[in-house]
Amino acid sequence: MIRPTFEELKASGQLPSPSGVGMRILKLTQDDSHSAEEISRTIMADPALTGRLLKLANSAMSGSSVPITTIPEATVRLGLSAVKSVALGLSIVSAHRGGACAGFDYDRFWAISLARAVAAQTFSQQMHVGIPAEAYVAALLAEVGRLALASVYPQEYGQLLAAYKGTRTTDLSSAERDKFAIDHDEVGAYMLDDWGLPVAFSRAIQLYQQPTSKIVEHPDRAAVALARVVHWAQALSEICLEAGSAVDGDATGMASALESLRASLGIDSEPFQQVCARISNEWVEWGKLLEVPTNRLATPLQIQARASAQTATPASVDIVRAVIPRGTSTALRVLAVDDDPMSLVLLARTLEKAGHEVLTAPNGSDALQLALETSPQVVIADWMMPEMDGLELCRALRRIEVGRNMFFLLLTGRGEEDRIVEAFDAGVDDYVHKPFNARVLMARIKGGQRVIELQERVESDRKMILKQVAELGLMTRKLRNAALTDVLTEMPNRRHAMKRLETEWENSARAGTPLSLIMVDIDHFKKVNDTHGHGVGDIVLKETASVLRRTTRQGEEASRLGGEEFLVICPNTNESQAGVCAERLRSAVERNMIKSGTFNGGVTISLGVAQRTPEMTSFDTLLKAADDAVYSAKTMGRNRHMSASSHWNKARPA
Amino acid sequence: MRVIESLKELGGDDDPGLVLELIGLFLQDAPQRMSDIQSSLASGDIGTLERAAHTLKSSSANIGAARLSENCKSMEELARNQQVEGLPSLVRASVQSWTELESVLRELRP
Repeated sequence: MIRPTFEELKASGQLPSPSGVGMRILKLTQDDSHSAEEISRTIMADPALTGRLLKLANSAMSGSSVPITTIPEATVRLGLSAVKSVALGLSIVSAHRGGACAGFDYDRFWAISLARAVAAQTFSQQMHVGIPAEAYVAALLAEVGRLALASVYPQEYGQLLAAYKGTRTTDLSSAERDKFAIDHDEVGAYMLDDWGLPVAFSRAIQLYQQPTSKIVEHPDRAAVALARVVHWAQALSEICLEAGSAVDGDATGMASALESLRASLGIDSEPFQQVCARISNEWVEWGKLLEVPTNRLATPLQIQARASAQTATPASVDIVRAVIPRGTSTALRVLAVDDDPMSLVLLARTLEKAGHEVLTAPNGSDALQLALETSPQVVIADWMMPEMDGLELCRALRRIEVGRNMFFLLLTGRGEEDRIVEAFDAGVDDYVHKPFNARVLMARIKGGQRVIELQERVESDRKMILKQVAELGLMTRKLRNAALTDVLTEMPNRRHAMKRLETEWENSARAGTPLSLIMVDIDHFKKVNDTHGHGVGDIVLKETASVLRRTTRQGEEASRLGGEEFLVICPNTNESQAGVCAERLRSAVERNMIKSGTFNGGVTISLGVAQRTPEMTSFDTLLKAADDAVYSAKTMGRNRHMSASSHWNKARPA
Repeated sequence: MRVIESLKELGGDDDPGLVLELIGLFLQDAPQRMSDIQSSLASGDIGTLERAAHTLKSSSANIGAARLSENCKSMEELARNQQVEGLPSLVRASVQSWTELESVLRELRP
């Protein structure tokens, strides 16, 4: 029932997605016909991404004497899959440096994500666990689900973050589930899958927060390797974050946290020093490269230095990001592009005089960069320019979300009129002859302004509708959850249990795996109700449900069927394993003391265990077998579990 | 003089600074374009000639230098159509207009 939830989020159109090159790579890789060469070429179209990717290729391949200098080389050395993942990951960072959620600290988010990425890559390399480039991407995107919730529900998520400030991640996750019926780890995992990253990535980001001993139990070795390094990297970046935000922090405390991380990694002090030094350096370099502030966190080196110096440190500087003001209704933000400096000045002055805010670029590729950063409402560009001409600029803008609604005015020289059809095909909205007449230019811009206003109105309507759809989706999910939840115990109810059982029944048939049920019934419950009243009876039900929920393990699901009857579904479990589980439940309930009103003591439960057998034709038969086993446990004296097979065969006490 | 009138129209009477700034920019940029035109004609690099003529066509039109702009337009068209035989005389004519224009503009600059 989770999958549709993610689809709903996706349908809102607000989920973070790769920008520009990342999106093109995503498109290319969606069909299988893409070649390594095509992907390399796509990446090389973005110089910034190329530089970042080469940096990663070189640091991930350190030890080799020849530096990697081209993308095709990186593709060969790192593997196409790693190069794709990195390109996607990096393009997410550049596309989502800020956003609509006022309560979400985007700078802090990326600072810690980058610290985690750099640390994961270094750990992967030093410890020979997993592939460094993949570790980098998995760690970079490990919390992308938070970014997603902030994008889809800017207001609600902001409130949630404010209310849960300073609490543990697990508390926040459960609050997310209460409010959105999905938590950020799940959203993140679905997003990575959706982008076509290897499945190990999504598994890793759902695993990495568990203890290492638990992580290694997962059958997917690649996911385990990724999750382990991200786990360590997360631990390190949390220390760095705490050290960076504590003004005159407890330096020795931080250093000892580092020390215990070292111990759990099982490496000696000296190599650990080297690892820390590498992470510190790499991190600062990457911060510059991706324009992510690194001064909100202390580097491992700083922590160690601070601890040894024991001196007070200056407060970390808060980053103030320049906010680009939206123009008023008459003043527009206009990007003017011309390779001739004189025409550019003339154009800029003419526009400024008319009260518009003007940005200038001397060529198409600079203009594209500037347009992405500042989202102008109008672009006025010369046609013929070296490198990227006006039409190429227009096509490039029309391919991306933010560029689609810009009003694009092309300046044409004499002799270019006969090619104007080509310009309109490229997505140009209008054109003006050069040398332009200021009054004609202003008239054309005024025409454009009407189009822009209309588009903005349509856009704001669309956003409102999307928001309503998202809210409706949220409500639907809440209702659906309510319909599948038992009100008293907040456990899944009978309807949910039957659905789940049906799914597991089919899964076990398909995969040929065992499936077992444990039916649970509270002993002498009627007597509790009769003696102490229904209020106390309800408390006993709630308490018992809570013990069952706490005592079942991952994969097993406890639900309330009704009255004092519960069911635990155990997929991939045979009868004797389920018997062990049943005994665990029985003893936990027996040990749990309840004090309410006149009731002071405990209750016991009788349990019936049954495993699916080849003769069973439907899950009803399996339920019946478990039910019969409970009956048999009751007749054998209660507070015990019986297995269906022993009950059928020998009916001897457990 | 036509050039100045055209500039005044562009900048408006209230902004003599802009006129001078534009002339300054033109004087900075145009010599390079002219020398590009001459050297690319000599080396036969017709693509560079076309681009330089294109840029000069619009910037000279901006300051009202109609003859130079017209010459540049013709050069651009010939270059685009690979009709190299007509180019040398046009380049010569352009150099001449440019030399005259440059001396006039230099006088205007303080």
